[in-house]
Amino acid sequence: MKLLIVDDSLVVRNAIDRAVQSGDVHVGELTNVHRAENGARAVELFASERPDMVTMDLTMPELDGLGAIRRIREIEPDASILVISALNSHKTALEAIKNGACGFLTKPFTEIEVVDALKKLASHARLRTVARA
Amino acid sequence: MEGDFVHRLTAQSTLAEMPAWSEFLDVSRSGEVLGDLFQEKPNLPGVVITDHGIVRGALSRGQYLRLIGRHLGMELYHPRPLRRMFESIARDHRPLVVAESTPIQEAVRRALARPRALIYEPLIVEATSTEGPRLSLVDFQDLLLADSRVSALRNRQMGQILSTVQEGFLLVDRGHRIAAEYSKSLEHIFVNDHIAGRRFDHFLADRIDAERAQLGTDYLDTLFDPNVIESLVVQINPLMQVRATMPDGTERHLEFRFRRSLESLGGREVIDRVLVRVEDVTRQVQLAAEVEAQEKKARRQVAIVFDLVQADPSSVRVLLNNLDAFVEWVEQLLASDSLRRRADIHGVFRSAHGLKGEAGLVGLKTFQAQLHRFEDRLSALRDNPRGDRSALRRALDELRYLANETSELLGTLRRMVGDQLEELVGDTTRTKPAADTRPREILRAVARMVDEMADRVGKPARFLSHPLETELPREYCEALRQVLIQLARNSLIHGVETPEERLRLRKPTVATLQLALYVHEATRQLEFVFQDDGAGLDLDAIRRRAAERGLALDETRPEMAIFESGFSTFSARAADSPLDAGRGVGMDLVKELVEEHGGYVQPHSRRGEFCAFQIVLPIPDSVANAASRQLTAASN
Repeated sequence: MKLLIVDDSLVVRNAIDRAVQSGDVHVGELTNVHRAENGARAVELFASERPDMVTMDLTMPELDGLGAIRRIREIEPDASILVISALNSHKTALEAIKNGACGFLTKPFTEIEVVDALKKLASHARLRTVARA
Repeated sequence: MEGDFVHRLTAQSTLAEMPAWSEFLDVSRSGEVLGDLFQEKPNLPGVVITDHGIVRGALSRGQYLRLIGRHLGMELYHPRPLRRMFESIARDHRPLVVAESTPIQEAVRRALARPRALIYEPLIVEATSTEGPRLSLVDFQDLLLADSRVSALRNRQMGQILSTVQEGFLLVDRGHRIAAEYSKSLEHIFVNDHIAGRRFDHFLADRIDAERAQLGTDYLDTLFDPNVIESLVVQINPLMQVRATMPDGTERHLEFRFRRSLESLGGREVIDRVLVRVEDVTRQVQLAAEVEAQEKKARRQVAIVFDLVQADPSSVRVLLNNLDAFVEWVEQLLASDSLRRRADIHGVFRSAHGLKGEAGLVGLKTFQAQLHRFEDRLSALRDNPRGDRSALRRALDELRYLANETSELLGTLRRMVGDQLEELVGDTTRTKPAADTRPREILRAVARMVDEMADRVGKPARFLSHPLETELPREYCEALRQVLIQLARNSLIHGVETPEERLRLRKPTVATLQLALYVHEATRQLEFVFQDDGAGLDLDAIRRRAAERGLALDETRPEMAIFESGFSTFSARAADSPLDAGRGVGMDLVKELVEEHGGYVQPHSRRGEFCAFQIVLPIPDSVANAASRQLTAASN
C-alpha cells in the first residue's frame, strides 16, 4: 500500500510519517510514503503515484485541501482520503466530507490517534480495492 | 385447555416449550388405524412414519384428509398399508426438521419459508437425548400462536426499555424522517409528544439556531454516505453539545450522538437508518460552569490570601476603606445620573487609577487587576459618554464583591491565627515577624518598607530617624508602626515629587523622610515628628475637596480636613490629579490610632518645601521613670 501525506507543515508531515513508521499500522504492506506540502503538489503526486491512502491538511498554499480533495476525486472517485486538520469550523469540515473525504482527524493529534485512524482508512481502501476487483 | 401453553412462554422460548405430539406408526399399518387415531385425538397434527424402526417422515392430518377426500379415497387408502398413503405424498414433501433448541421466532421464519402448499404442515422437532435423537411433531397453528405471544413479549420488553431509558433514542431514515419507535424520555427532552414521523431536521431547526441545525442535518447526511468511515467523523459532530430553546421557552443543553444502523440486504450491509442518542446535559453543563466558577473563586481567594499575608495589614485596611468609599461614591454618581460629561468620567478614572496605584503599593494584585478592568470600562465610557453603563455597573459590583471577599478573608485569617496575624503579616518585607516590640526594630521595618515602596513608585527616598534604644508599651509600638507606615505611604504617594519634578525644582532627587522623637518630662508627653521634603499640603485643593464632600471646614486650620474619614478619597471634579499633594491616604486611620491612645496629631506644611506631622502622645503611667529617662537620653 502507498500513502500520501499532504500538509504544508514539515513538523506535521514528519509526525504523521513517524507515527506510520513506528506504530504497527497494519496497512497491508505499506510500501511507499509520499509527501506533499501543498494541494497542487498533492494532486500531481496522486496522479503519478496513485497512492491507496491520502492524509490531507485543509489550509495550505497553492491549492487548499478542499480543492485538492475535489481534484483527486476526479482522478480516482474511490480515493481513500483522511483529512487531518484543525477543526476551525464545522462547516469546512463537513464540506471536506461532502467533497469526498472519508474521515476527519482533528489537530492536535496523538500518534495513537493517527495510527488508529490510518488503520481504519486502510481497511476502507482495501474494501474499495476488493469491490473494484 | 387448548392454547394454554402460550401463557408459559417467554420472549426467549424455544420449540422445547411447545406442545409436541409423539405418535409413531409403521408404514405396514393400515390407513384406517391412522384415521381412527385422528378421530380419537382431534388436536393431533400428524404422526411420525417409521419403517422397521427407522423414521421415514411424517403424515399430517391435512395430508390425510386431502387423500381421503379424493374420489374413493377412503376405499383406496383405509384398507391398505400406510406405505401407500405415505408414498403418494412423499414425492413432493420433504418435512421440515428443526432442533428443539430453535427459538420460536426462528422456527416460524423457517416454516414460512416452505413452499406455499406445505406452509400449514406440522414441523418435525428433533431433540437429542442420551438415547439418541427423539422426534415429535409441532402443530403449525400452535407455532403461530406461540410466535404472536413471543412477539408481543418482545415488543413489551422493547417498550419497557424505550420507556425506561433516561436517554432519548430515535431512528432517522435517509429522508430525515423519525421512526415510530423512540424512547419515551425523548418527549420529555424535546418537550413534545408528537415525535414519530416528524422530520428530524425540522425538529432541530425549531430548537437550535438555524446555522447549527443546518450543520447537524449535513452531518446526518454524511453518515448515510457509505464512503464515509463512521468512527472517523465523530470528532466533527456539530451537535456534540448545543444550546437549545424548547417550545416552553426553557433553555437546555443537548448532546446528540449518532450511530449508523446497518441492515443486511442481499448479503450486503446497507446504511438503513441512523440511531440518534439525545441527552439533556444541562445539569452537567451547569455543574461544569459552577465547578469552574468555584475553582476560579478558590484561585482568586488563594491569590488574595497570598497577597494579604504579604501586605501590611493597616495598609490593607486603609485600602479597603478607600475602596468602600470609592464604590459608594461611584454608585451615587451613577444613581444621580451625573456621570454624563467626559470630564466627570475622567475624574472617576483618575481616582480609580490612583486606587490601582495604591493597591499595587500595598501589594494586592487582585485589586490591581480588578481596578484595571474597571478602568477599561471607564475608558470605553469616556469615549462614548452616552453609552451603555451596564458593563461599568458590573465592574463596580465585582469591585465591591472583591472588597467584601477580602474583608471576609481578612476576618477569617484573623480568627484563625488570632493576634499572631499582625506578627505573621507584620512587615511588608516578610523577612522577620514584627514580634519584636523594640522601637529600633519598628524603625528598621519602616525603613525597609520605605525602601521597597520608594522603589515601587519610582520615587527614590531614604528614611532617617533617631535611634530609639528603649522599649515602648506594646500597644504604642503597634500604633507607632501603623502610624509610621501610613505617614510614609502618604508621603511617598502624595508628598514626594517625581525625581524629574524634583530635579526641575532643584531639590535633591532622593527625597528624605525623617522621624524625630522628643520627650517632655514636665508634661509627661512623647512627641513624634514625621517630616518629608515633598510638595507640602495644597490648601486650595483641600478647601475645594472639603466643599465637594460637604465637610465643615475649620478655616483657621483647614489642613485638619485631611483627617476626616472619606476626605482623602474622591472628587467628581476632573481638575486635580488623583495623586496631588492635597490628598491623604489613610490619614483618618492615623488620627484614630493617635486619639485612641489619648494623643493628637497636627500637620505642618509649607507649599513646595515640606510636610510634617506632629504626633503627641501621653507617657502612660506604666512606663517607669527609668524608661522615660532613657527616652530622654536617646532623643538628645
